[in-house]
Amino acid sequence: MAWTVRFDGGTLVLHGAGKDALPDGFEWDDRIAAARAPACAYAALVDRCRTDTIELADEARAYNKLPDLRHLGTRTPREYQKEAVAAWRAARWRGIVVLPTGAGKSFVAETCIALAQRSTLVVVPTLDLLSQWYGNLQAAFGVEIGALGGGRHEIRDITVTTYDSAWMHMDKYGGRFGLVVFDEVHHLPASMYLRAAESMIAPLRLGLTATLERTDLRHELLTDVVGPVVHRVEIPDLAGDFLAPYHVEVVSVKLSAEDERQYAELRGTYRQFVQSRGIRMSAPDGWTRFLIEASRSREGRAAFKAFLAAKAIAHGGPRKIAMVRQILAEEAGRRAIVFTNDNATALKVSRELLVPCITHHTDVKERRWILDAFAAGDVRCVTTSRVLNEGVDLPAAEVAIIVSGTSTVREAVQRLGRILRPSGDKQAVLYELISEGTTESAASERRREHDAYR
Amino acid sequence: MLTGELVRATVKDSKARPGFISHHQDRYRERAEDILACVGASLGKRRADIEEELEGILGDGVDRKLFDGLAKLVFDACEFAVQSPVPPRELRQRVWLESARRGPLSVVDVEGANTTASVFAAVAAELGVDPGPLPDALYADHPAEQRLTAFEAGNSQWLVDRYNLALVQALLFSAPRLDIRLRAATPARVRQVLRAVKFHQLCFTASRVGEDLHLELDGPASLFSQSSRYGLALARFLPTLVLQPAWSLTAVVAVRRFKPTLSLDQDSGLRTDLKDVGAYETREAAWFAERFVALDSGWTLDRDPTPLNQGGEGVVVPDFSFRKGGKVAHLEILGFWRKGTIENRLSLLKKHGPRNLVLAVSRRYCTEKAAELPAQVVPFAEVIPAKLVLERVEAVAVRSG
Repeated sequence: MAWTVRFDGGTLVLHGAGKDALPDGFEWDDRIAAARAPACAYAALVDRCRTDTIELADEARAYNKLPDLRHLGTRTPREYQKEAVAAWRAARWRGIVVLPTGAGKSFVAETCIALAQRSTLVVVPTLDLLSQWYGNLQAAFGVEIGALGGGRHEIRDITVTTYDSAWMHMDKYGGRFGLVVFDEVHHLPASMYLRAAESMIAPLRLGLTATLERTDLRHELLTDVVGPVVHRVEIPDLAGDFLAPYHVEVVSVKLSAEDERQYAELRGTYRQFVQSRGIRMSAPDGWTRFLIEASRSREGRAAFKAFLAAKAIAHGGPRKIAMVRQILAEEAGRRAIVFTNDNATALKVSRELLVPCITHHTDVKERRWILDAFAAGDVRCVTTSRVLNEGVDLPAAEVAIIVSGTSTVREAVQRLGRILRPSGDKQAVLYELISEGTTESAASERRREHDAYR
Repeated sequence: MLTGELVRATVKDSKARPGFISHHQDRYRERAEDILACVGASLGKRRADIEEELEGILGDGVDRKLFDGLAKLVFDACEFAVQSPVPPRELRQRVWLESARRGPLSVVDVEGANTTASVFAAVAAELGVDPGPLPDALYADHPAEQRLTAFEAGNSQWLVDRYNLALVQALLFSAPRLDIRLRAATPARVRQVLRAVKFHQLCFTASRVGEDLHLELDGPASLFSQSSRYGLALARFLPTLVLQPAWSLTAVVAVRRFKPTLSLDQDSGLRTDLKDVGAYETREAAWFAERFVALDSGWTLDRDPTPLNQGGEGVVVPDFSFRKGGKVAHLEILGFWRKGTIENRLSLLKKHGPRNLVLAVSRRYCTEKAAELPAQVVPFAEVIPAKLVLERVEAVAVRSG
């Protein structure tokens, strides 16, 4: 008896299979009197039909074989890149490759895409990465590349999208790709994004990341939707070979007398409220409780405003901007990236120092212009809030200035990755500006405990 | 739409009570009027400035969240655009390049030093414009800097209605599914509802409870986990439900850490400005009923519009059901539909049934291939031939379960 399978809003609907002998992942759906499974059960279904010689009318698969797809590059893969690709292939084309930033993750992905020769979707966290992958893939394969996100909506045999767009659109396009590549795959375990992965039939799956482990342990969920870790290269394995040496300079910035007075007053308002409501901010639900309490009364709202205002002073006070100005003057001629914690500070740096600024408001075209001008040396400095953190190619950056950060260890590593990239014979410097006597000093201490800072 | 932090609802005895407002409550109506007047008089102003001006109206009192919600809905009805002497992007690129060409700014602003002013002066000279407004124009395209160019909001009654509807919609964001009942609904009304269900890519399960048609709405993947994944689709579906003459809904929603039940009906005061289209009742149905009854065939005729499922790919809402001695058959009238719909209907009928459905199809759509039509199809010009339908009904009727 033949089975029929079709794609329906991120799921598979199967007609013909008996109610009591459903294939793995399928459940009986009374609403339609047929069997249904999340779309990611596709590979197992096809396997099952092959093993049990069940005839399957496949209306779900909407992806193409691409027999003419060739990698046009002439680069020879490095040994560890070859190993990574081989390990992924040996794991039946499913799994995660862990490589440090700067170790050529995209080249590994391109090699896998060329091997798979199937319609491919590349999912990335940010619009910067979208435009970067778009350019890289076009150069690698010499074909038109599709883009979904950042105001573009073109589906092609090789398409790049963001996690957000994937979440919104995979109910529609989940049948269209045979291979899916998750760049910075540690983003995927957010439950929204996991659903995007479940809504795709793609039997071939590749995850890429420099920092797989999450503090919430949710990375363990990836095994089901992407596959196991098939290859792992750690930072110490590579240091000295491909990554340039760097050093960290912590610069202590004193608040101005006026800022110091305001800071103390604002923190006082905030602390008094927190104490009066008996909230322990160090408890796991401390922050949530604070938000709830803060929304309930006038004092609460005032405390919340005070909290934000204090943070703004610590993160981007005028003394800090002046310090950035000074460092840029001292480092004249070297390419610098200025990282801030929020858009407002990035804009302030941009307005006062007249350097390009990238925030999430910056559209894809302007990002491209800025990154190209930076690569060409037409501008010497770029400032950005967190959006640039991950994996965007800025090969010539030799100076990084962290104006403010509440970053977790992961973000700090990603930021370091940027200036770890080889560039000439000059040593890279990471400046970290810390407001003296504020909560920032403690956060900075915590960050330096990670491996990558040693 | 209202975002999560703007939702006002209380919970009592596991029931959710949305913080509805009434146009009769002076302080809400007046505040709604103030907000509309303030934004309405702000054409040409920067968004950040309008927001600042609104601060005074929104106040800092216990109703702040409510007023923030009203303001949000008014902003949703606004259009903002960039206004600047030089296109901001072009200006930025010139300024950045000029600034990079001159090297880092001087640490101290002294006579002849490299300052922001000297960079702007050089760019202004290049463009032949006044340097004064340039620093402000640099980011004139950012959302906060954009200027109000159109204001499409209605009056305070419109805003109050929109607010109440948006409150319910925001609660539905967190709902895993929606249970609705339609009382004595016509087939055209049920089709209108199911069209919206399909449009929002939702799934339904239908059952008859007395006079009511009961529909459970969720999404394809709800089978595997009950999540709020389809909450947005349920919220967008809501206005179509509100258009119905007699309806009720229940849903389990999230309010803070509680999971209360939300229950509403046609008397809850919800109103929508969605156009009420496609619920028109054709004359053919009435004429047919008259003629069929006159045949005195022993088949009873009823108008039970319970939808019949076609393998999850399509749905039939019968115009009539025929019953006799435990046997049942249905009739669907395809009069004013498009040809594409009819072809689709015939192919689904072949694939998934139901076998006991008779289709009355306007002759306009089936003249060419009359011979190829399945036996279940009865073509008609103006009046549906009752006798022919009866013949077909007797041929296809099945025992009901």
